Amino acid sequence: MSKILNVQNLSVSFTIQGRKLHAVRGVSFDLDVGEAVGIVGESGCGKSVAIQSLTRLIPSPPSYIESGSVFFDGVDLLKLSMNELRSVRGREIGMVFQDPMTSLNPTMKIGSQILEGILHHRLASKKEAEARAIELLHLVGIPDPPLRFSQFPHQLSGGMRQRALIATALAARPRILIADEPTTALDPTIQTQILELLKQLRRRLNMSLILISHDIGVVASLCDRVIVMYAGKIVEQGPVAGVLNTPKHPYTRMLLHSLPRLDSGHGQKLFAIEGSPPSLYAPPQGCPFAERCPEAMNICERTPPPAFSSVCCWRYDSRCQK
Amino acid sequence: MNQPLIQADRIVKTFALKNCRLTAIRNVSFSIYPGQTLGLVGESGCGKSTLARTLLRLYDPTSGSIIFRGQDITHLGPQKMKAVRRQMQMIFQDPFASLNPRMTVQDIIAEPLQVHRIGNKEEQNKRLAHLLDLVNLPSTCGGRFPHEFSGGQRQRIGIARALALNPEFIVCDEPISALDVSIQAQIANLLLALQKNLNLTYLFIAHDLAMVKVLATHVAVMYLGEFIEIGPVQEIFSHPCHPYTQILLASIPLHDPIQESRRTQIFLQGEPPSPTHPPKGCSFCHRCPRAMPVCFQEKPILITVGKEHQAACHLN
Repeated sequence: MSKILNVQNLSVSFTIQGRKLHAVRGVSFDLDVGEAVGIVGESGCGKSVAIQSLTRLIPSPPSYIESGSVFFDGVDLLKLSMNELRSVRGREIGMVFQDPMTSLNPTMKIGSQILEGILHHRLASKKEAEARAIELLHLVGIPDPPLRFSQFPHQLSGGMRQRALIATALAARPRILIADEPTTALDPTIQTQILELLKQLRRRLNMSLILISHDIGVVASLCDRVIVMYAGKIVEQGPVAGVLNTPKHPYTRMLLHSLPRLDSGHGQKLFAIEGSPPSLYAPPQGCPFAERCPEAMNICERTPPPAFSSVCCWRYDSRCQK
Repeated sequence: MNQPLIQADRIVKTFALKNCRLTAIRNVSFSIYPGQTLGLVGESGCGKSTLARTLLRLYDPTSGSIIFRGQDITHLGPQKMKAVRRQMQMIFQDPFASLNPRMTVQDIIAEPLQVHRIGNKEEQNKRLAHLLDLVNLPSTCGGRFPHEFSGGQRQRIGIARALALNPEFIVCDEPISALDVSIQAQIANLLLALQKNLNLTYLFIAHDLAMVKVLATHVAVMYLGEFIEIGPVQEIFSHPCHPYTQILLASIPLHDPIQESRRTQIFLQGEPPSPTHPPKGCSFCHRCPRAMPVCFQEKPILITVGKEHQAACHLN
């Protein structure tokens, strides 16, 4: 498979009241054509910042891209002018955000919001675009598309709004769809519907997908590969089956272990990771997880571990005594 | 078994909207016995929080009665209710919104003691130290403000506040869902340990069914303001009788990708009906994959389907 996206050493920081917050610290990953990658991590681990920085969606200031490159089709998106970037956003890389209540414009009809993307990129005449918008509403499973086309967001339920939002993201037929916690705000039965929709769309349109989620189950059901982030860094990445069934990094292992399972019994004490993630104002010098890691060695606190194939952990260095 | 700690009898709660009436709770009855945890699950808007708040008399029920330790508290006046409230407390979902940002941690935790005029300053300080210890917060943090704490620590502050008056009954309204994944297990363990050590009774509202499995002894499934199934946690998870419960259990994504790819998914069409215009028959009939003609005509009532296990479905 060929690479569609190549992210190298991406670092993003924010300046907040004169203090520097290191949100993303040297993130590198690839995305193949047609591949679905899931990014998991706790809130504040930098997963959304990293992904929104790919198309520079985070206002600068307060954010600064400190280093790195994002190659899309051989072009470094981080070096493009705002005008050039606009032909990528929405057109090549579509985005679905978490909250369908706030990410649709409440004063615009659903149809116009879908048309906006098509017309902005001059992909079709107004008339063709309208036909396409209705086709898109149909594609994302909204009943009675012509009616919904001329309704406002508040007339739709949460699940319908999320479907409409997906339609707007698909309007210009992007090659990559980024979905940032697309089902977090939804109820479980509606979540299943939306996940199935994303699965089908990906197959049908041969899109690449980047899915951000804190729900490991959601990633397991939808993705081919998973990236685990912690405190601004990637700690482990690899095929979903490998990472989730035989996690290598102590953090991934403990995180999976701490999740309540349906086969766990009542009153059974859960395994808990003690402590909380480090402050990103003063990120630890070495491995970000060292402080909470039961397997930490002296080197872990001093020197950040390099990637040993799929995992960033000193335990996998050949010099480490097993 | 002994007397239930709290009992709800045919509770109805209706809100008047601009031009219609919204019946949020429709004829709900249940009992929670001392030391039990009733897990309340259902989709957003199904009336879980309204029911919990009605139970605490934060809302007054439109009809029906609430019996707490054998006493009917449905129509108690404010003075008598205040005394009952010492026994029933609440832990909220959002640890950021439920703590006053201008109050220090000690003021937040000691406020219930001051409201109920319990102890002098010295005794209150002693209680404060004990409460901080109970929820595993350092005793030195009393003078700090909520914003200095992480989400998990804030939830601990909220729990300490709920425990201040030594209540018997605590409503936990999604106390875990707003927390980070690695912190959720810590708080769940804390709630379990507190229940054991202080002999607490919980009403636990959640949408994470796996968490309910761990924390609850009994589960009630709500749909459109009604209980459609209630029973012991093992019963509900191993023999769900209502199609909605079955679908709800099947909709939890599994963490194991191999199991996940193998399992058969049941998809639920559509969305819950509006509580202002509930359907005539079963409230789930329009989405139910196994609906029969009778489901559209006649409302099913809760019938016993197993030990302590009831479901409202014509299939049974």
